Amino acid sequence: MMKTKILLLSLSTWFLITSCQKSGIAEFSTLPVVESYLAPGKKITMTISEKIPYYENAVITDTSINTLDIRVGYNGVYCNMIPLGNGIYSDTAGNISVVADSAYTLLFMFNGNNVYSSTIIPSKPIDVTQSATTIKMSQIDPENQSWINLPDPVEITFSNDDESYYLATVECIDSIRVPVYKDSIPENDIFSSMPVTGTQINIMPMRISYFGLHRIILYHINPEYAAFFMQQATTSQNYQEPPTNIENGLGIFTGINADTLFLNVIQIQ
Amino acid sequence: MKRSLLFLFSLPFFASIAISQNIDHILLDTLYLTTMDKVLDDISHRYQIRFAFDRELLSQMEINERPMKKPLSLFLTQECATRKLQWHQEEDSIIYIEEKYESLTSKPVLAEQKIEQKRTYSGPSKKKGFILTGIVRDKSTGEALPFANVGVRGTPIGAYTSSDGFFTLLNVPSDTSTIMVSYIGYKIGYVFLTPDMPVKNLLIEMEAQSQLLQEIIIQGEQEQLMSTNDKISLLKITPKKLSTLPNIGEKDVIRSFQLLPGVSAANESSSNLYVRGGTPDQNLLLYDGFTVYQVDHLYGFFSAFNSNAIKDVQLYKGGFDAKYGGRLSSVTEITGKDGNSKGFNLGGEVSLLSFNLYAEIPIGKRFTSLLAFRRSYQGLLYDKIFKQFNETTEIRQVSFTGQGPMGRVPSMETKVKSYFYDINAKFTYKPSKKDILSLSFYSGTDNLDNSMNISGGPGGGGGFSFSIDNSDLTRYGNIGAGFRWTRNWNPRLNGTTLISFSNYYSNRKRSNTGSHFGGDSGQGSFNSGLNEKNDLVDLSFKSDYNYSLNNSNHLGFGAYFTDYIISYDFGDNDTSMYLSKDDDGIIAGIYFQDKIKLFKAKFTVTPGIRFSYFSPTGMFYPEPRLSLSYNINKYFKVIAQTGKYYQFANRVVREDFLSGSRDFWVLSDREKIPVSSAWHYIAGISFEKKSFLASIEGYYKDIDGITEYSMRFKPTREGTTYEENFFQGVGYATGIEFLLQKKFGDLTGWISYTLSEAKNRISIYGDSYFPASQDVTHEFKFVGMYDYRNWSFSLTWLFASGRPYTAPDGAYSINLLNGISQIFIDFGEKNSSRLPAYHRLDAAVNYRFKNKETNNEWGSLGLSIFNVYNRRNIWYKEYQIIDGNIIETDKLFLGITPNLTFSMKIK
Repeated sequence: MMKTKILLLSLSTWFLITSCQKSGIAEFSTLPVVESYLAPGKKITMTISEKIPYYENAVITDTSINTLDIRVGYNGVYCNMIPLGNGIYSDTAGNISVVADSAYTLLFMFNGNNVYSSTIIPSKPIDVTQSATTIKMSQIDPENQSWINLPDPVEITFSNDDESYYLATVECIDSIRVPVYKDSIPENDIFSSMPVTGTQINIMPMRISYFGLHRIILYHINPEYAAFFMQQATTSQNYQEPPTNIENGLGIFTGINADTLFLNVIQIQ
Repeated sequence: MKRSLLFLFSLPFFASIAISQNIDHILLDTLYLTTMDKVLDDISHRYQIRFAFDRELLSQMEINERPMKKPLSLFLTQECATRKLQWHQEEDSIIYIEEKYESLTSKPVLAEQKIEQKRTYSGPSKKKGFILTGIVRDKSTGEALPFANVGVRGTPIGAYTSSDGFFTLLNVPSDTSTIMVSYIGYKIGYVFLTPDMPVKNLLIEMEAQSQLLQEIIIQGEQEQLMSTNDKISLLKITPKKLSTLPNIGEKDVIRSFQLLPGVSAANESSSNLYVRGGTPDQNLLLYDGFTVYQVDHLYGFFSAFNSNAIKDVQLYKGGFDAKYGGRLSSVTEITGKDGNSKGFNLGGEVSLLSFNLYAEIPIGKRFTSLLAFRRSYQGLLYDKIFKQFNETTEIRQVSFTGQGPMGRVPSMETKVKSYFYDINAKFTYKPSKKDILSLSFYSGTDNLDNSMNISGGPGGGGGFSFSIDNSDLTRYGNIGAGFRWTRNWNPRLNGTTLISFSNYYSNRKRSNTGSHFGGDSGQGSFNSGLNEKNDLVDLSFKSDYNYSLNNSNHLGFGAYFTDYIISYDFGDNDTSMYLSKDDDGIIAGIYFQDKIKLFKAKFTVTPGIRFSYFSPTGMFYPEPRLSLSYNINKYFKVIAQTGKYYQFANRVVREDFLSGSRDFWVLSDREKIPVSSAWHYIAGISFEKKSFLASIEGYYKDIDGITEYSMRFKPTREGTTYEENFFQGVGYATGIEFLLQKKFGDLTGWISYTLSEAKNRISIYGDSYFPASQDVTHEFKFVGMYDYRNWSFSLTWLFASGRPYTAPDGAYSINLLNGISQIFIDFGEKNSSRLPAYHRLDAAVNYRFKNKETNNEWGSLGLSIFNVYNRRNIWYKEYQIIDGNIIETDKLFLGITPNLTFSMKIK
């Protein structure tokens, strides 16, 4: 009987001890976050940051984001990026030219892991047209106006034989800012369309926040960037894994190409 | 004397020696240095005395004595006394030497043929080697007792009753043999056969414990709450004693299985059974033969089955017979009460959560019926349970927007409007002694409103503030019916044919609307949600037969057919549909099984095969099964089992980190949802005496075709194809279970410990195995029950290591081309975090009201305290992501919860 008691006591103690070892929060996995847009005619620049841990007691490795050995490769030649502080790196000497339809790779070590990515620089948008360079509209008073007359959408058309992704950003560049919605202070003076794989993007006048001159940039983008827009909003009940094209890391390393248009939004008095 | 006369009873374990004398005049004077059987042979030979005894038993007992002219009667008395034997001489002069069973002095099982409690017949036998058939039933209600053990005492001849209480014993040695009947929750009974008893349709009645007089209760044979079985990995629970265990608000037969080894108790919010690392959908639940797909009420706190309508429950933890299929892990077979056949009965129960009424109405001698209804009402306990789903002890907000920590704790308001009900009905008609027709009906529905309002943020000044109005309405349930015909074609062949219908339905609408102020995007509002609808229809036909070739060879065979129609719609607030599936398919097949007893029934081998056709894949699925059991000696037994199992309808988990994962039934197909399969490997050893049982069982399950639905991955960069969000993988579950049970006495109970591991590997989550959501490494359970007169006390304590979950790991931001910084939340590796360990102490005291004249129990009053030391066990974590802020909520299980239950019945 005594032996049985000792056995049971030992067994109980053992499982109580071992069971405690497995409870708890998983170890924080530090990952580098890459943000780099490669555009023809511009020097390669990127920002490296780290994921911010959710739990305060997470153990963070002291890998410095300012002393990484980052290399970008093009045509089999790798060039070291120069750290500029705050996680910013750049090919300051312009050793690598960014050329459309060419492939570029990113490579560096972070916490003993090879962080890798690659991208292709899309071609410059061609056969770009816009249906209007000027639109006229009245200032909108949301509180007193029951009917709003808006001009037709501005149609941006382009060739897209391979059904690749395009999107447009519209930014007010006028120095005098008169809001379209009376007495409002718009959160942003820029907005973008959703990526399309067709040949036309419509700029909806109701999304314009200010009267004045606007710059429309038509981007030819890669699928890895379009993926950001395909995701559900982060307020959704259905969590989605953040899109990334970085192996052993997060963020984006992608090529873009663009054409610039202008649109003048005139207020009808 | 010829040798042939010496062995009058030429039976496997019996020997006898003929010719009679007055045994008091026989004086023994021989030196005996041999075994007792040989001594008896010698005495028989010398003095022409006839003996009947168990040769195998007595051959193990040595005698080393010279009687010195001792009278034979005294010699037998003395030798038997030291060996727990007893002897008596019948009128036919045969001296019977038997094991001394205390039951011989107790009140035995009664039969309608007025079998007396002691052996009264003392004449010679008239029949030998005959077939005995009969029915075992409860004495007071006339309920047939399913799966009772019936055997010829002192021989390996035995059988189980069918679900309708029928049994057949082949080759019964003589019509003076003793039949022993045992059934969990009842006294072991003995029927002393006499030549004038019928050998067909012998009606054996058993008495439940509560109807026995206190003074004749024998410690060694008290009723048990739980029993293991000679079938591999089979557990039984008697609903009759459930009220003695602590409960939350209802005595719950399914939940009580969670107190047993191998069945996880770490998920108190689920009455589903997590058996040996399996998921609840891998447990086949049969109610009077038809499958029930929704087994719980009230978010899982209560099982869907009214214990007043249940007669018997069996749980096969693995390695189940070829008769059962379509599930990977386990089988729970519930047999509903037929209803009292001896008179009208009305009973009921009221607790702080629900009320419960049942009626038993017999019409004539051939028809019985049972109707039971249960419904929750909004009492104190009801409110407590519902608030538990909305109340939290900790809401933690982490901001990644630079707004700083929160200025005040968020507040929450709840709305409570939910209820459940269920109906059980069973009508049984016996047109002849060979046939039983029954119609069973079950319907259970939950209407749940889990809506809440959360608001939080700084009390003034800057920072992030929010308000969320959450609406969460769910209606789910199961309705089913089965028409069953049981026929004993002849003493060797019996069969059951079932036509059934079962419909599971679930309709959930959840929406979040609200507003926030602060953060990167300043002021804003949001509106999100989901609609989820799942419907399953099961139309089945099956026919099962048993054929006994002889006492050592029993065949089982049958055929089955199921037509499944399963639909699932999952969308976002009526505006877009993520997934819409509408499938139907047929499963049809046959099975065959042969139970063979070898080596004097010490070794039992049961090979079987099940062969199914599944129309959506157009393929055949063979499922070989094999189980072995060997009785090393009277106390030790080893078992081994292996088998292949397929599952065609699966409850796929829809992964949702934020508001808790849910699951839905879908039918396997050729493309995205494979037919899942598992191999079971089970081995164990047990040591069982009358007073206690010790057992160790180990298992390994190799599972293929695990499917999970997750919307966190984008299958292609070309856009979202939600149908492609089914991900397949493999898994395994392994473990070892220890059980030590004290079976008899005023103090009964058990201690069990399970060490287990359940892991899956689904390539979308990575190349490594990750802990399955139901993985619990250690589980320790203590159950103690003490009876004192009309009082019973019970105490249960559970300890389980924490279950895995996926926690947020961190966040980061990316500046998009439009200059806006977008925040992304990153969750860690799948199930890489663990909740704190779960433990809980429950206690109950129960008083039984008895009729002073008849000693019949007519009611009881029970006080139960759940979670005595108010352990704050975490159920799961919920997250809200609003504009770069994570709001973490701990959903807790119930704290200390007292409950009072009063039950009564006419009979």
